Amino acid sequence: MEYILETDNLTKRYGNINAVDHVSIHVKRGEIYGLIGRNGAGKTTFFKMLAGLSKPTAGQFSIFGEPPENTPKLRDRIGVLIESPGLFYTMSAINNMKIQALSLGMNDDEYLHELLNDVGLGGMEKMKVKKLSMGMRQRLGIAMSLVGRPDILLLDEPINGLDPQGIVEIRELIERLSKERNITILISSHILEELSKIATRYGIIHNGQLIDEFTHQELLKRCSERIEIRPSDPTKACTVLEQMGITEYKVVDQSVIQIFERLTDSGDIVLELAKNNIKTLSIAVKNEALEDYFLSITGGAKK
Amino acid sequence: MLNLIQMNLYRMKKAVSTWVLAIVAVAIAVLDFSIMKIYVDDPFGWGLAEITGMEGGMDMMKTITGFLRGTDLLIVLSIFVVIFTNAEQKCGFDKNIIGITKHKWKQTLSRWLSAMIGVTAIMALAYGTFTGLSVIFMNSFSAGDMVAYGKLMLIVYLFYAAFSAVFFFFTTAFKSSAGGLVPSLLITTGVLSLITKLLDLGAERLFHNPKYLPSDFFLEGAYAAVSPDASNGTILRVVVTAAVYLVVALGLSMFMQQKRDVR
Repeated sequence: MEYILETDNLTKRYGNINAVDHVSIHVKRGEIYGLIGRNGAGKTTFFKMLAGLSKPTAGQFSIFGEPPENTPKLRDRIGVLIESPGLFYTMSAINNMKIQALSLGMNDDEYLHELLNDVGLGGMEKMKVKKLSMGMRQRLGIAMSLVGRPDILLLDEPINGLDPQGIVEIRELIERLSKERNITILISSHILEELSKIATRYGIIHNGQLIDEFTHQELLKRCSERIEIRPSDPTKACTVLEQMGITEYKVVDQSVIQIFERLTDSGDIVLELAKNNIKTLSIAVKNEALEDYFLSITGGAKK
Repeated sequence: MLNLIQMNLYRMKKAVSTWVLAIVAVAIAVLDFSIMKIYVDDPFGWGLAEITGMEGGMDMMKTITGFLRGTDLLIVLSIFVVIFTNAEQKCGFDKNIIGITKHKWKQTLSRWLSAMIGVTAIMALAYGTFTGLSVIFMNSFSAGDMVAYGKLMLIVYLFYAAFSAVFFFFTTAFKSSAGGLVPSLLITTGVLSLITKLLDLGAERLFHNPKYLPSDFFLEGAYAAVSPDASNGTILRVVVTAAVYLVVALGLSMFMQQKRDVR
């Protein structure tokens, strides 16, 4: 499997605090990897290490299979938007683009105009950044990160502070970049609901640790409607369920069984368990929202 | 690194502050020239030309003296260096580009080199304006000893480079315009020299007419010793002092940038 970006126990320590604690992720080419975590979870620090802004205390990472220090030229192939876009407010949008381009040794005005068009800022090239709305600045920041024709884009909280319309615009832009330019995107947010609309793979970071990693399909499954049953003997209950032909189930905390199929057959399930001398201590049909799911796992991990 | 210098120069060209400070530098040159013309012409017969060493007509060498007398141009340059150096950090643009080079110190060096190009341009503008006004308005302007002029000009330029490196260091260390400007202005406005004079007094008390005083080894103290009449020994001492400050301030700035994270 070709991983475009891999981290191996990447760690950043500030004094006694592990801002990022042994995080290992694997990102395939073309994926949109969503890193989800509360404010202060370690997302920005993690991104900063990948962008070369911060030196890891321990661990390592590779881009295109190579450690970045061995191949500094590869850095050009990473576009970065960390926290807020770094823009010169008294200069025009196109001049900001030009400054970014010159730093990469590029001098192609036509391409810069094309990029501004792509992010929906066509016709606003000469407008000063201070006169742009927050959403426009965010899009300009993304356009600047695209100047070097990157293969990987690191977007740290790109929808932070945006109104609903702005969020939709950025989401559509990210989807378009992934599809049309085949850019691998790492995007962080504390809003799982938004990320769930675009990401293909997720990592949940909490207190600097990666506590879960799953695909989009797995996320949908975890958040889908299900029967939650608490039997007196979970091991025996699993056997009974399988005898009934139920295979899509999961045991949580060694006491609760989540069943993802035959959701209207809860009565039959209870009856079958009773026939096998298994008491049903509780039963409920649950449908968890994405945010609830996120809170349940980060809240559970909270020390 | 050339890409980064090119980028910095483009940024400098597009920044309003660059042009405002260039205009201020020209205004200072005009003001300094006006004061010097009063010294030379001495319209009130107060013997100003003799007191200030401006008797005997105007030549190229005295154009430098006009600027050495005051530190106003140095103040403009300190503001320019601090604003230019801090701009990328202030708006967060450094986060966009700092990862593109393996050696972060190269970005620091390229930024200082770019700042020095700006310093050179502002300096040339100010001296050019002063010299131009002298040629037009002074009754007896002559080129004078151009070799001595060139030598002194190089020393003055070395000092501007050393001062720029020190201002650059403060801005890089404190990561803010205020953090860079306060110590820079303390130096250029002469506040720090009050402290060094105090140290001189202490040294004189302790060692009874020592050969060297503490102020000789402070940058502004060495700068004050630069003059067309300075002895070779003094010139050597001030050149070495300026060069040491330049190398140490720049070296520390690059070291800091290389070692620390971008927050």
